[in-house]
Amino acid sequence: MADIDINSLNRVFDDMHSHMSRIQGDIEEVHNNVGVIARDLSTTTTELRELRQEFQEFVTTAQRVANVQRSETKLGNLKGDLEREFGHYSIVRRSSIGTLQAFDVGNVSDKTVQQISEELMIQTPRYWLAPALVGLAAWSRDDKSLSDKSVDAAFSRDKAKTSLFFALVLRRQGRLDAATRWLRHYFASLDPRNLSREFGVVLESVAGNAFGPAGQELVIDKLVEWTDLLREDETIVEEQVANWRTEIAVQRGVVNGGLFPRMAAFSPTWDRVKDGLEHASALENVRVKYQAVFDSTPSLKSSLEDQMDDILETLVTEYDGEELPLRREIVFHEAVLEHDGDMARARESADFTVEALEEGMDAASLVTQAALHPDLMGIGVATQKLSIGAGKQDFELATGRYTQEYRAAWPSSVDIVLDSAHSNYATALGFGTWRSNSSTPEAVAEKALSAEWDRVITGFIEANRFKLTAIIVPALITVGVSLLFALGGVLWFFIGLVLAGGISTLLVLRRKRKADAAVAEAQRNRDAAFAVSRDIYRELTAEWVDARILYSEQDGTEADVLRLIEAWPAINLGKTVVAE
Amino acid sequence: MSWLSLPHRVVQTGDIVDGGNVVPATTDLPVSATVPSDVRSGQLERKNRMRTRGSELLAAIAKLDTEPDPLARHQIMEWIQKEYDDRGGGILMGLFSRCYLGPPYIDHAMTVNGYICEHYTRADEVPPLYRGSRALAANPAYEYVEVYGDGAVIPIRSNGKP
Repeated sequence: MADIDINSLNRVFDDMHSHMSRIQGDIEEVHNNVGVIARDLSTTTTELRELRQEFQEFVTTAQRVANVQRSETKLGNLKGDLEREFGHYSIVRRSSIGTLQAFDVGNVSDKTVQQISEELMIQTPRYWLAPALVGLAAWSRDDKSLSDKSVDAAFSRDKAKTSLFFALVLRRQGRLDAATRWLRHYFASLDPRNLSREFGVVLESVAGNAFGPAGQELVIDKLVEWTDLLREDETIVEEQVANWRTEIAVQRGVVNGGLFPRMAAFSPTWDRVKDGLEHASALENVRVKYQAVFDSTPSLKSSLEDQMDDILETLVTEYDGEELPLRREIVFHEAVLEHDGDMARARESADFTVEALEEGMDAASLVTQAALHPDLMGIGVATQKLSIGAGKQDFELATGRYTQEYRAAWPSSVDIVLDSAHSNYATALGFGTWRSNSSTPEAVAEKALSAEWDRVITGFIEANRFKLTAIIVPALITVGVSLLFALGGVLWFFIGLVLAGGISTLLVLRRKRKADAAVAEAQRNRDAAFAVSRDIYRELTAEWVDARILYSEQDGTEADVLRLIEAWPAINLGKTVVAE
Repeated sequence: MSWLSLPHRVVQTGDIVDGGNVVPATTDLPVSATVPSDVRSGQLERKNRMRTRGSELLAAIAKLDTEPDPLARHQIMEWIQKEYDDRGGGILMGLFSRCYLGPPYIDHAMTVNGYICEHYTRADEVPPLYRGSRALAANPAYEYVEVYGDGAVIPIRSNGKP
């Protein structure tokens, strides 16, 4: 066996010792860096979550802005189309009222009226009002044969509108008997289950007592007869109630999750709460809207002629079926603007509104549409008030149904779920899922939450504490390395044992220190971790209390809506008007 | 039942105009010719349910909760049952309302024809029949909730209106 130089061996040991110290220093540094990164990672997770939320909000907003812009452009185009395709009708429309006013003043020669009306007849084929205008001009100069021919032509193009037009014109000129006769013609062409939209003019005339006593009686008798008849049919009544119900539903507001952040994030019941709050919010909006209608005073016209001119203008401008497809599209795009680009709400609102632009409604539905969409029916506030009065039972019933639906779905308590990502501590310490309910007393719930954290911390400690089994592998490696060294002789065996044993011991000690530190850190953080979770729990239950207060305030508005409906003058379709 | 034989007017499209005089396009037909009888009875029941409940009925239902004497309670229930039979709103399965006995009870169900009144605490599961009524009974807008044989749930307000 060769001699061993003890000095050189000592040098080797010294070198090894210095290397190992350096390695230990490096390991410490790496550990410190890992600690920093771990903390940073926690922060980054929170920031990422916030960023994700902001990004989603941004995407939603961007989509809505794009929707609004698209609808604005589309609206401009549609209105342009309407003007381009039907703009030439407006000359006829203006001329018809102009002709009547010229008759009143008597400053236009028959020849001019004749010439203009005949030109318009040529320029606007298929339009019912053009021959009616020629008829008017012929009537003014007493040309019976041309007048008859023109009236026949207008009548064949649109029976209902022509009859109503001449009923109103004759009434305007004080020919009451002839006006009533035309009115009879008009009613003769009607099917109460399939009325055209221009019937809105009849309602408008009833509200303004425009037909004169005989005409008024005729219209009211018909309306009462039809309404009684139609209301025998449960389906028709149900349709009216459903329309009123939708009218209430479209008035509901939007609850922002930002108002109840904890519930929105940690309660699976949040969707029901949000839905309940949004539905209840509609009642106040309905009350405000209909209180304004109730309080409004219709503007009074100074003369019968002015009033009749307004009604005639409505008749000739509002109800031309050819324009309806374009007008329906306009309704949708206006709804998109109204709901700030929220397409779902816009569609819901437009689907409901567009019913007023349907051709062919039963008399009961027409009255309901007059109450709900006076603008689209071309009627004024007086007629709207009258129509609401006629349908007040439906309104009341619909309010009851609407509130019953959302009240039945309103939760009596909310579930609370704190998951593994509800806080950074939860993520770091391996929190599972903790469930509770707002009906559980706070002390009991917090005790359970505390116990859950104890369980989590115990589990974490158990998983991370230093275990004796951790020394088995280093020990085996030490033995193995020593045996390899033993091939060189006994002394090499001892050298190998010291070397491998030293490194293994250092590594094991290092691991133990790390495990002890993690355990101590977990124990230190236990209270802070529980406090964070408990605060979330408390904030959530406080939000639930706030939500209930808000809900009962909004829900209580139903009484005001019902009082308003109760106070609305009950109208059996115009009988009140006759009494006035 | 006399109401069934009443003639109802039904509309026919295409009115006739005769020399300027309108001949009404309505024809009198017995209702039985147009609507099946079970649909009609269902319609009538639903219509009857929409009628306002009398103040006596509301008072009797409220009294049930506080009446200590079982015999008197039985009599009140009998009276309530008769009232509902007379209203003709269909088969009433039971009534559900808030309970004024105080904690732990929050609501109770009355099976009128069985003369049973059962009180429930918040933790109790209510029978399936009343599951849809619980949230409604909790709302102060309603006095109690009626549950009918056809599944209809009708909450009644303090003024007796459904």
